[in-house]
Amino acid sequence: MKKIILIIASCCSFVAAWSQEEPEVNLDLLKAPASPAFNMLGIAPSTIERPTDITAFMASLQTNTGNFTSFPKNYAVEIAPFLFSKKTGPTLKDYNGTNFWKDLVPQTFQLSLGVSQQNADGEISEEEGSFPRGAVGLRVSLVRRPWTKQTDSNYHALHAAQTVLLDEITQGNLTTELTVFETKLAVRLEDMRRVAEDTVLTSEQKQARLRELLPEANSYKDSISRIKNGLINELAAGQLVTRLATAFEIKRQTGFYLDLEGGMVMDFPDRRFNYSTVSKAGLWLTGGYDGHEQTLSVLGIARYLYQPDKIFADDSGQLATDDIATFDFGGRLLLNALNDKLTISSELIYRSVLNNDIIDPNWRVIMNLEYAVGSNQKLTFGFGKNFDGTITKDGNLVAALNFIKGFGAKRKM
Amino acid sequence: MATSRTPKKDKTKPNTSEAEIYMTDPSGGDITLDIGIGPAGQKATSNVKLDSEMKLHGHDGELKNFVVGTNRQCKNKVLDAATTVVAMDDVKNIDVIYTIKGGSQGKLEIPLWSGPVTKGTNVLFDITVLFF
Repeated sequence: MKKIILIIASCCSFVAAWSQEEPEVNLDLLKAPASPAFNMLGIAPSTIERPTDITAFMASLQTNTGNFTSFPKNYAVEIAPFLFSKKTGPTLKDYNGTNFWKDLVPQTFQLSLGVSQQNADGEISEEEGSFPRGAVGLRVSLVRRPWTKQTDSNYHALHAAQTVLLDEITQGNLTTELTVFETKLAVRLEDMRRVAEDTVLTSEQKQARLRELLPEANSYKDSISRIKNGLINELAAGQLVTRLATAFEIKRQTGFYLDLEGGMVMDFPDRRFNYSTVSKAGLWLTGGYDGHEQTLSVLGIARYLYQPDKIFADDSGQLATDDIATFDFGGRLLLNALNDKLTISSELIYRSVLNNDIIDPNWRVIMNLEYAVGSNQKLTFGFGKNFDGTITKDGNLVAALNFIKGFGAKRKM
Repeated sequence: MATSRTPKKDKTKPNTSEAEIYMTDPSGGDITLDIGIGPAGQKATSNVKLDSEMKLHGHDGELKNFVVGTNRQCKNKVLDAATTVVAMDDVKNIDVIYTIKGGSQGKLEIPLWSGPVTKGTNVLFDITVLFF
């Protein structure tokens, strides 16, 4: 028995340097691309414009339409419509909110719009036979985690510092020059108050008289504001706010999250708006539980594609992609236990063609266990079932057990 | 009903402070103040005073329908509202819009703006409004 234990320990040392074979199937293949609509249209992410307000959007549109004289030929734009149309919007603290309609839709909903002049092969072209293709996409968070306690604490420190700064900068007599303008403003405001309190003048007369006094009051206020805004970042309180704001970073709690992304490409073969065909479409639902690699992390992706470039379930390429819809689903689980000594990971992929009987749905699952037996030494075990139904076993533990099994096998004399 | 205001300032230059007048009515209705901050994601804190009385101190973020007082309580008094905003990112412009409602003048909007601001920079915005 002692000899067997010694042999196992030797095998563990011997195979310690072996690296575990990476699983062939990768859940990352199912992930939604950045800007799915533009990815389907073949537009590079670097060419996408992202205006943050209507003025910038109109300027971008003007440039790409030849001063509004022609339809854009190759143009892609991504906007956050709820933030786009208003000058003011949610402030920093609102990004801690998790309500779908109040917080997530206004803050995370993004709309992608694009147009490209392409040939039948999907290449950008202006040759005869090319036609416009349009893309529309969306992205929104359905479930979001709140800030961590540390982020919340940092936020409150920032707010406290900003409150102190506001009190300091709004108090009078910070500098001699400031005092002069503040005194003049106070005198002018007193003149205006006397007009307001006048019992003889009518409201219209008061209004007219006050409007005559306003420009001078505004002149003093402009001077005061200019001086204070020159001072505000020099004050110790201002520099503290700057430090805290610059260092502020949003980190979210462990927990469930869910994101939705989708895109669609439409062809306009006759170059008429009233006739178009959908050439590609996709919808991704991504969610999971993020344990920040400390305990448990789970990731799940469900993907629907219409006329994809490649049918995931069709390894041999026997199906044409025309009029094909596919549904694929994947999940990954990662569990750390026993003070990170034990790691269990598992990945499942399911793939199917929805409107065709030639390719059956199939699935693959793989599970890996790692146990740290020492510094840079791990016992590993892998188990899986391929899409074709074959079972796989690997890892250095399997190799060691096979080695022992071979060592202890009976020899024919 | 919106009342004419002093002419709008040059949009190419920052406008971080403004004085205005606002006509109250004899009713007991409330005068309210809104403060909007943009673009999204900035950190702002505001104080609001009516004459020497501090009505709101250290308010975080946007303000909606804050009751300054009734029309009668506000008449012939001066409202001072100040907001300090720190840019949480490099931005082309910070907007702060103060909106006063409830008097005979209807809605009075006072838009202020800063111009380009780098991350971490503080900007002070303020208004002074005489109620009459």
